[in-house]
Amino acid sequence: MRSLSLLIATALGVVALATTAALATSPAQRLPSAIIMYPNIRAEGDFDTRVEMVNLTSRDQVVKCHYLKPPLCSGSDFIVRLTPNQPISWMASEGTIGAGFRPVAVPPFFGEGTLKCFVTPEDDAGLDHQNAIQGRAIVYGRDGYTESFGAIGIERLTPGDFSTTFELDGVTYAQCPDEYHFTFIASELGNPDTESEIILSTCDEDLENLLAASTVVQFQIINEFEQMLSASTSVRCYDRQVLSRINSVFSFESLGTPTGQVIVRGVSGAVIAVIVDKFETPGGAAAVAGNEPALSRGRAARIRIP
Amino acid sequence: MKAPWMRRIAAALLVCFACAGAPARAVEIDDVDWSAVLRALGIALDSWRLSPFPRMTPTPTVPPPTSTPIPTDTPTSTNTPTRTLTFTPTPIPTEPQAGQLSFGPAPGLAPPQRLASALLIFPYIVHNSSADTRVTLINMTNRDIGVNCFFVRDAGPVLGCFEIGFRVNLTPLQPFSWFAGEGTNNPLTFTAAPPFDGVGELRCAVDPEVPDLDAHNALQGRATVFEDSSGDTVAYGAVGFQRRVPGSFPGSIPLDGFTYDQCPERLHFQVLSHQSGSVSSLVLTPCEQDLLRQLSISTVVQMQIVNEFEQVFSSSTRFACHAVIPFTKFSTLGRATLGTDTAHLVLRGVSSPLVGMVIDRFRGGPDNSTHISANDPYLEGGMPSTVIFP
Repeated sequence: MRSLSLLIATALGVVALATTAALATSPAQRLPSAIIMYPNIRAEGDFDTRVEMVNLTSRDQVVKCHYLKPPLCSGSDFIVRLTPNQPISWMASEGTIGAGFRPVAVPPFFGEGTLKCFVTPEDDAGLDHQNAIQGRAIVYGRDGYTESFGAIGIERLTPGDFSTTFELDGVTYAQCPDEYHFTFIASELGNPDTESEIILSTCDEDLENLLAASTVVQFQIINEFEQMLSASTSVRCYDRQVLSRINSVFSFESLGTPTGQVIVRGVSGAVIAVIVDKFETPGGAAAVAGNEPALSRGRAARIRIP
Repeated sequence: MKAPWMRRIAAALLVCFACAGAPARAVEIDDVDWSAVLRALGIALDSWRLSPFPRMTPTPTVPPPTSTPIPTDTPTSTNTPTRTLTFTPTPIPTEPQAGQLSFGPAPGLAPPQRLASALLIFPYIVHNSSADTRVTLINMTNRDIGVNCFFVRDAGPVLGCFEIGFRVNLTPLQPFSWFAGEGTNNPLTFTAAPPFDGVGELRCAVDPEVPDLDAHNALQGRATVFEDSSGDTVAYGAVGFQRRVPGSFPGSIPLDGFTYDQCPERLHFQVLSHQSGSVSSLVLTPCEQDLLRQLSISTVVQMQIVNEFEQVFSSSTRFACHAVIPFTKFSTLGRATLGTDTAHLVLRGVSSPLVGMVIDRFRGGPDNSTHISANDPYLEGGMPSTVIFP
């Protein structure tokens, strides 16, 4: 009897270890997904955003989306119906009415925030019904200013009914990324054309109760000589911050090398992070580009929608 | 020494031939068409597969040696992986999606992206009189790693793929960046990269010191292509392939879904239809590459285009080694043909799977200025391929 108990305990231990391994995995990207999170939507002043979404399956899809704006992570929601393989796009400031053969209405959005979209399949739908969409947002403004970011995709991992509470636990859905590894270009102090920015938002959402999550965000910075530095900031719902104002270690004067690696991690909860690279070309022209990270490890999160 | 029974059979045959030959002498020799007799006899014997005459069919010859590379470092069965080693929440392969355009179901699993990888492909590296590229590699692990890299560009039908190779060593978590047009030689970090000219691609493979899986999956990278005078910038992350089983660096990298991730079978883009003054471009390179023999891989690319009204168009093209193709080459990607601002573009390589990206160019904003951005694909399915490093 004792040996049987030992065997069961050992088996449970193995399962627990395996589960731990699963929990530590970051979500695979650029694949058809059940949840997509656009890290940045901007429609204010000179800026506007083209939002793109595509159905990557041969089935009709119904997608529920939420625009989220700080500080409360409140915003408007809408439903998009996509026919097989259908692409759809709209300008954030204008929205859209009608595209394709299914009725679509997207409200206009003003300000700056994020967009999260969820595939809502029929009951008992298989995985391929749910891992169906991908998306991208292109923010552009005056003088050729362009930031383009692919949406962070979260795949459904096990079949099951749709629920308005999404468990990003590595079992039902893939987890949120835990660590973001960016290469960044060090800014030059006093030169606004080189002030790169980081866009942060929380992965956890409770849109039913409008409880905006907040967390401290830690940065570990490594220069090309493998010297390590650190910095930190905080975010509630969504924020855009200039890197060199968070800490001077993001400047060439402190970093000592033209580029560095920064590892970004939320403390209280997982975050979504992208960087907007700003630099001057050797010819002196100002340049801007979206900087998408490499992902490492995973972290559980929960999204609740009305 | 022949056996006695063989000598007896030979003697009997001689007697028979002597007896059979006697009446033949009574016939007028001029009346016999000996060539017809011999031909008939040959046909008869040939039907018994005993013909004494040479057959008309060519004698089988030893096939000449082909240029097919012999993988000298073929992984042995000692590398046989167990799925338990890679217990990940990788999505369960879903059922083939019947009816996916006219391409049919996509087999295999696409390589997951933006993770620490063992092989990176940067599909678009530029250095010319007006543009340059900042290439960045990062070591995402706490180990030292060696990285073998090759710039590759199309040198025409005679020279094939032109390549420049180099090796860098990265300390734990080290970032490493340089301008493609200048290269780098840093005595403080013991790293160097040669300069590169033209438009091409860059491939980097991790050559770890130990055979552990996490020592292979250690690398990520990014390239920022910029116009020096205007500041127009295309920045993108490299396409990554993860190692699936522990083992040594094989030199010939089998992207078979078993040792390494497979190449993507299809690339899905959401693209902006081209209009006057805003022409996007398609950047393509074959996933398969033989850097040892500098073979130029050529393939046909099949394209399916779906507009926002779900109307389907198709097109195709052919390229070798590396290509940047403007959308104007395809009338089906024009706003006038598509009728919508965006389209869903699906690409599939016929002879070799593809790696690629789209460079979006469009006009907009309050001053109707020209905008440019990188457009990375979504990946579907997997197809085996091989990348051979010298």
